[in-house]
Amino acid sequence: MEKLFNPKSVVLIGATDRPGSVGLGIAKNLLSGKNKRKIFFINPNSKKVLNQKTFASILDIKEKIDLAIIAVPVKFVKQVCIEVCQTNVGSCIIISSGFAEAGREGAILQKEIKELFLENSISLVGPNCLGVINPSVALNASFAPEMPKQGSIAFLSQSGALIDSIIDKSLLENFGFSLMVSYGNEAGLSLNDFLKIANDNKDTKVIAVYLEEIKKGPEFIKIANEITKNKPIVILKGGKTQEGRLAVQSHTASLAGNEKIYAAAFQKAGVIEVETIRDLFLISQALSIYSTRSAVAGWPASNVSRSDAGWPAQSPAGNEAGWAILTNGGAVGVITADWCSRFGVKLVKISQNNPWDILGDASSEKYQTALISLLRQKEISGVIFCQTLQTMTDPLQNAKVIIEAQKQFLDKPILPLFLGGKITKKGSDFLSKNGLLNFNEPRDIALCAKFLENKTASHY
Amino acid sequence: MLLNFEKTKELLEKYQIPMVESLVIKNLGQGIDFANKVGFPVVLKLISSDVLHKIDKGLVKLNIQNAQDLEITWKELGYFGGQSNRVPSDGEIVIQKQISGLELFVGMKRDKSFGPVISFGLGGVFVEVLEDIVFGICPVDKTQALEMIKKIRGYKILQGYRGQSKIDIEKLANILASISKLAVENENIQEIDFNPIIANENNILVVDGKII
Repeated sequence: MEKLFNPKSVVLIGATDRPGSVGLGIAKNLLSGKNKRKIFFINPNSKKVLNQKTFASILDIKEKIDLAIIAVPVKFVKQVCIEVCQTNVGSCIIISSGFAEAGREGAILQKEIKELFLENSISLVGPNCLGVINPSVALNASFAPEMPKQGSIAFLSQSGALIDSIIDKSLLENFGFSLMVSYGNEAGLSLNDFLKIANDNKDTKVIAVYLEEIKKGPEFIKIANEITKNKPIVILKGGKTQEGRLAVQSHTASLAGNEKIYAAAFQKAGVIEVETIRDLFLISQALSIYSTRSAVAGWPASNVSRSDAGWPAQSPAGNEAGWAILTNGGAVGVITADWCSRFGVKLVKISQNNPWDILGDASSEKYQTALISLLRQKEISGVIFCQTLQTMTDPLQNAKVIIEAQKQFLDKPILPLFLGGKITKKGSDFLSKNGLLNFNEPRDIALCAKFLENKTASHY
Repeated sequence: MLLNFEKTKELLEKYQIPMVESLVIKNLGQGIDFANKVGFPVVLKLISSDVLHKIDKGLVKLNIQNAQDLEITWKELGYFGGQSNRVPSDGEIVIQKQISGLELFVGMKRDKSFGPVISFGLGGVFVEVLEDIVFGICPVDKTQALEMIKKIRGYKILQGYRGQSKIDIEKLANILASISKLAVENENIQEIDFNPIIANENNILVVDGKII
């Protein structure tokens, strides 16, 4: 897969200067990585694209090609594929649409192309996809409008459009990706293959997936089940309800359909299933920041390697460890405790109250003393740090307290809930700059606490 | 094709899925002998491949309390078969011991993505109105079956709610695992619909089993 995700030479068939075109988008994105690899443009109708000399056909290029990207109208795709297979490239992405998703004729064409690549043993992505992105080697083989930051989430998506928007969101919210794959119609490489690739990818700590249909179910369960022993997989499945209703038939076996069957499959596969785009990336981020027990990594990721000794910790008495909530406002502590209870997040019994309300006049010093005293307790596996904005509250200073404490207690996640907006932003920005998430909703923090505690988590 | 009663019974026996005491009868005398042996009340059913909803069409006769009732009912069912006093040519009449308890169901269908999938729930209003059904992707072993059972909203009812009998969850899990095994090992079976399965403190028995 090195040739697909870290190619030394790339050919773009269908490169063009035409404003607003897919061919231009990919050409520009490829050039952003021109220091890392050779880039060739193919266009029989223009001599130059983006001031770079073009070739009329891939057959004119005498060098070895690792990756060919096809972005030509569907009626030319087959001929181009034949030429690509003649040059014996390492891998190929077909961006073009108009295949199985477009009807019978398209499906037949897709089948022909699939067989062509199969015969020549060339890995194929697509057709009908956005492409692939590997930020660690500055590869943007897609027509996404922006390049995401490097990070540790691999995002595999049946939808390309979703990837575009998620990149934009991630740039604002300061999280990054190890791989992004729009896998399209899966004529060659399928979701199952990309799951294996993401699992083998060292930069990837969490695999986030958007899908509407799983084609090879039993294989998916087997592969995902193996992966989730080490790396969490978080999935948002679209298109649940319509089919569920259609499935109602005369037999009890068909009374409820699609949605619950997928939920059962995800549970069997050890996959975390979510219902919203926000949850998909919130949980993925949380899991990538605070690695689960078996993925031995410190915080921040590059910092210190953490001991493998059991986390969540076991208290000396053998009681199960749990979370503590620290707050300067009663209400937010209560709401958070409610959500913890709904999601089955255990609040541990400690000598202080839990939630522990250190009252509205709590200074950053008082927060620090309280936080450290909680983190020192063996039966506490993590702290939910709630902050309401009161006259004497200093969000930036509190954020610094959290970052310092987190460095000191690497194996105990501190989840910050800074409730507020404009003034609070100073604190939450500092948290985000230092690699921590800020939550602004008790439900979200309880949800993440649940999955940080229990890595073989199931649907909530 | 809907399997006939004998083949259904054979399969259930092979996979150790307990069924209520039942017998295909050809005449009234066999029915009376059976009822005297297992005790009244008994149930009479007409089973035929084109009759899916027996109860709607009045082809299941419950609460047969004595030999006289049995004779009347035998004649009524024969009428449904088109010929008085005789078993219909395309079907068979089955006599069963009538038992009481909680109604459950287990189903199996083949999903186009995941293959055989079993479903489980409480019968009646729970499945029809509340859609309280849980699914499991085959193979489902006993441990997974236990997880499935615990996931239905009506789980408390299985544990003996308000003085009702407590169901043997372990036994129920074994039945689910056996049905999964049956589905995995018999690819020609498209659908299974065991509804109801009646459970009480002593037993969990398939009362009506359709295999297609």
